[in-house]
Amino acid sequence: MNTGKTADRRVNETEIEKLYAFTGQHYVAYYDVQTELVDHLANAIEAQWAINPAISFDEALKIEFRKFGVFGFTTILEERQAALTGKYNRRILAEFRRFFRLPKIILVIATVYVVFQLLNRSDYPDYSILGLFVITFFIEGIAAFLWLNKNKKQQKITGKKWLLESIMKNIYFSFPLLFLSNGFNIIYQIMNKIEMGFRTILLFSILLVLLYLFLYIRMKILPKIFQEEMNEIVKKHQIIK
Amino acid sequence: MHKKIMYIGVGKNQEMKNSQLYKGSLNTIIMRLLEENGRMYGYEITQKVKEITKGDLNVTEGALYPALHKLEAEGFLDVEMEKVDNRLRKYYRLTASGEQETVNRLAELETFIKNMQVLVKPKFQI
Repeated sequence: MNTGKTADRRVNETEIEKLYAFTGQHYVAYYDVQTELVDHLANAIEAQWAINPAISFDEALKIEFRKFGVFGFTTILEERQAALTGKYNRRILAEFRRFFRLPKIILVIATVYVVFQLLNRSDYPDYSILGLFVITFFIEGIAAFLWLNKNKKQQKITGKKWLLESIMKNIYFSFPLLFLSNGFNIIYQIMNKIEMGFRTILLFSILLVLLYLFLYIRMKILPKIFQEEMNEIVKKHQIIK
Repeated sequence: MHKKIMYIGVGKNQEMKNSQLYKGSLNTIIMRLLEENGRMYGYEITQKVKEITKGDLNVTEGALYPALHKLEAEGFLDVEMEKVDNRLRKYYRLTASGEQETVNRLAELETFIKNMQVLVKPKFQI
């Protein structure tokens, strides 16, 4: 691209390292996001040198950073996080919808029927339902910590932090945390107030099956998608695994 | 003579109020540029817009990157990384669905411009 540069002064490797450190100091911890910003800043600094070769690296950087506005890189980072979270939520929903097409929907209905029959025949359907919710919470919690452990190992291999890892961490931990904060209490309050009739048991049977479906997608399908994308990102950034 | 510059994105400039007219079209501008140039990187896009509009339109960093990232997350853009000099550069290019979306958005924009022209043009009666 012709940027009208006349001078040949380029941002050197030490300065590139400085730019990475600079983005880190301005709350961008993820290598993939940093990389794009570093290239942008380097291009802009070189364009300044083309007009005014006497300007120092630090001064040129200061001028360029001001162009990012009062919030600096934060807006860019937050918007990227929101875009990626939306992408993976859509992915989860798409997987979820697959269970409501033939032939899988038959399996879902059959599972609801079995859960309903078991709860309906139980002497204590309310405690059974509560118990199933607690089990879900524990599985979610264990899976989240297993994932965190695996992720730490991956981080050690690449030596970098990646935005996708942070998004996945939120996806894995949001549900157990929601449960831990107030979710379980809300369910307990509902159970105390309502009468356990045919309709209530059916409703909770459906709810529990839907919950376990989400659990299955997040624990079985999502890690595969995550790993594939993570490998792709690391490969693209030329970090040898 | 002071040249009036239109800004897309965040800034403190007085001319910012004009940016509202352009904001909704930023994605279409990006997609159109990528359609024309194949692949581009962020800084290149800002410079290209400046060059084409002879400096009248300035796409700010705070608006450009969120727009690019959103289009990427929606599957309209694909990304490739390349080592240029001593750093990594992120290039964007349109995906197949992005190409289709560009056609749709350009058609939509054209209709919008036509309608606006009809609405704001003074009517001449004989």
